Amino acid sequence: MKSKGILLQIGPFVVRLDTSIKTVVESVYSLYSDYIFYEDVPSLFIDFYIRIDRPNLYRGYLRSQVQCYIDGNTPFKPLPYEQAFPFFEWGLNWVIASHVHYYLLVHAAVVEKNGDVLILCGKPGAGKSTLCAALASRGWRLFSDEMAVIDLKTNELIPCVRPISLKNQAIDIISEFSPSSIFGLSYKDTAKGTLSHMKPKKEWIEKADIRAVSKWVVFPQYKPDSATTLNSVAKGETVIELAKNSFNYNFLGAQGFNSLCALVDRSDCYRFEYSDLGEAIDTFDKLSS
Amino acid sequence: MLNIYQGVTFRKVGEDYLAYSPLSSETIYLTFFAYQTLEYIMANPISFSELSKKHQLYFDDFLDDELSTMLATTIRQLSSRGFIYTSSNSI
Repeated sequence: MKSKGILLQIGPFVVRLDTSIKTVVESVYSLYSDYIFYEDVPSLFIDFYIRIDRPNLYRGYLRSQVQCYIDGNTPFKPLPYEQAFPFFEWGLNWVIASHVHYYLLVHAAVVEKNGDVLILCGKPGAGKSTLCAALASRGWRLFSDEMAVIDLKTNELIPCVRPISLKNQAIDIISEFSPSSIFGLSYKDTAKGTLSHMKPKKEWIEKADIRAVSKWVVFPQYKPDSATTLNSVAKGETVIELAKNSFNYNFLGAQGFNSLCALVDRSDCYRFEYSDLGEAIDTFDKLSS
Repeated sequence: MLNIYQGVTFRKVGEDYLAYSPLSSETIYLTFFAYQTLEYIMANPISFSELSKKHQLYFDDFLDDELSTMLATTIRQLSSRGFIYTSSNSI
């Protein structure tokens, strides 16, 4: 297959993806079908160039691997060929996290309701993507399931809507919780286990330029059979924990510190433990009402 | 004289006091005493004795020895974590 250049607007970024891999093209056109696709014109400013292709004859064909090229460089080891589309998603995460220093970036899921933003920050496996997907399927607007993008001047959250990456049991849980949700292919045996992407709703993408301010910062933790509990957490502790989960806090220095402090100062901060998604949604719906 | 490193920032967030040092890339909790210490040093480079006098006005229920010990400990901690430095041996 001939390499195909795809230019699309993802949140505040213009991304060019080049690939000759059919499944990647199909997945992009399926999961990103409601996004703005651009014609390749010289006047268009492109933030990131990503190429997903076979690396060379031995690795590409004999071992059936795939490589992610970012601005022509290869920051990662090749992956099995079947993981070509997740590789694009991971590559995009990486390139944003390591190059975008004009925003403060925090590893967190972000949703919004009635103009108020809820930031869900937690370690991998804490259940933030599951909770984010569940909230998004019950009337909350998705900003991102991967990172909070924060304007350093206004401290507003900037939508960076992308397919929600769900892993392992979360795929079945959300399929059952929200049967109308559309999923992409399922990828087994990735570094994160089985992986599937939930397609973003058109209305979230259409509102991608509508920013909002933080109202709640929550540290969720899924615990099987646990009761649903929401407990206040000190703002100082919240700043320190968000800073630890930021991709570029130290790079930004005092600017990052002041931005994070201002964001937390205007937010209510909680630790949240849950096992029942329905109860979890009720808890956040009550907060927003 | 006690000085503050360039780029050090500190502020109240909710009920907590926090400070950030670009030198150590550390974000730390401050006691109100440490916060005030940074405020005095930020305003002007200051000697230990002057700083102690300023604190005595606010923390008047402490004995002089207690206050001096507390101040010395605070300064040692803030120095070792890259927030302040002394431009002479005046501590």
